[in-house]
Amino acid sequence: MEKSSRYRRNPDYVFREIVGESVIVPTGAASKRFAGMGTMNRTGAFLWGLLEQERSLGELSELFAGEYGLTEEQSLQDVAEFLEAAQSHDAVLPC
Amino acid sequence: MNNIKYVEAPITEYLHRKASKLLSPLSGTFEVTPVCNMSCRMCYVRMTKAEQEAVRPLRTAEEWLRLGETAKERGMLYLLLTGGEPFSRPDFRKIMEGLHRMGLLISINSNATLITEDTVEWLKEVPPVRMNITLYGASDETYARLCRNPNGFTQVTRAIHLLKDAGIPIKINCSVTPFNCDDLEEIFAFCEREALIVQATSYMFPPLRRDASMVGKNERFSPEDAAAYSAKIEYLSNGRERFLQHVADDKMSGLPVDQDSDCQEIEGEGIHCRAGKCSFWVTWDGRLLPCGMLPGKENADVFDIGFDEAWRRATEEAAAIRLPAKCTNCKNKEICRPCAASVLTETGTYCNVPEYRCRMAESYPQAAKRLAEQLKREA
Repeated sequence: MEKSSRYRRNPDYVFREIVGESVIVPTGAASKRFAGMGTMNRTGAFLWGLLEQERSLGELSELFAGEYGLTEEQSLQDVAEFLEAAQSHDAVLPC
Repeated sequence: MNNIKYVEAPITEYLHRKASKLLSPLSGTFEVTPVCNMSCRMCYVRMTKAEQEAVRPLRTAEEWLRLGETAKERGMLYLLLTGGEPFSRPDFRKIMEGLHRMGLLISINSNATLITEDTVEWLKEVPPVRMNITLYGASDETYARLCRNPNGFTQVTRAIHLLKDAGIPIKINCSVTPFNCDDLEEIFAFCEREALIVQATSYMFPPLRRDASMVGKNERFSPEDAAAYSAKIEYLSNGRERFLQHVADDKMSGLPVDQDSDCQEIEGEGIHCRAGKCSFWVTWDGRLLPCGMLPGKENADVFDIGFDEAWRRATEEAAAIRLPAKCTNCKNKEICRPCAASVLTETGTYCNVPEYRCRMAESYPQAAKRLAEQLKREA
């Protein structure tokens, strides 16, 4: 995964705060591939919020490190893991 | 034997427990019509189109969508669309499509007899998380006897195959009555062949919603026969060896209350289920109830007073319910598992003991032992 690679969230997923928990629910075309919902912890929800607009891995990692006080290496690893998991359900799309 | 059972996902259970503590309306049911193309003898809601029109017009698709939007804003994630038969509404697609776009996890209750190739092609575009199909028998003859639909089994079998081919998850509900009990084994065999989850019950609530004079009555088994069929359901659900072990260990499941997932237990005083704590039911004519089995004639119209006020009243109504004191200390309470709706529909009040459930619970252990002995002899 390159730092310059760009991503955005799939607009077919609806983000919901349910009794204090963050979940994403597929609608439209996404619901044909994934039945059910995804859950996110606080850091996942933070990244989801950033992906409202198209961003590079490098940008995401920098903002994530700033928010949670991480090293560049740790932040890159965490963000890459999030993007991989989200892409496996088409919740995040490469641009 | 059918070994596929319905188990709620841990996240679903977690969210419901949390929502119950917060009195957040996580789970809703929209009863979009009382009209059904079939006419089952024990149904609590069914009307003909003419009967429905005589009461009031159906709420429009736009009204249901506005209600869905508000309920979603207040925390609704799970939504069950039910009837009557939802697919009998000409504008059901408009309702489903609008709600689907909101980011809700939608299940649909249906008898499946109106589901065609065209319906399934459309459902593939807006897939429900689950279709709950009630299977009333294992032959067209049984459907004719119980549901007055002589082609029912053929229609539902075709629909099940179409839905399976489309990858839409199906759960089978089965209401066992004197009119279809001879089909019980074949219903389970059918579900096993088709690899379908099946949840059956031999307990039928008195249909107070349909007829206020039906307190404690329905076209159903005697309590003792209902207990015997409940034991048979446990055997068919668990398989011979597991059932025999349960009987030997005195660890039988007890009587089912309802097939609805909102009947799952929540620990606490008063009522034990999710009704009015995190779940609600809107009747076709607009009354927001804690549970769809309650008559709710006095409940105000949610389309008039708004969702917030209707939900507040439902939570207060549910919180005020106290089950009969005698039930609290009954030796059979773990077998009986009386719920507020069964107490009210059996007795007309919340303070009297539901005799029908008592007799069912009293008979159940012996019925299970008799069945176990019979199975051992047959072996």
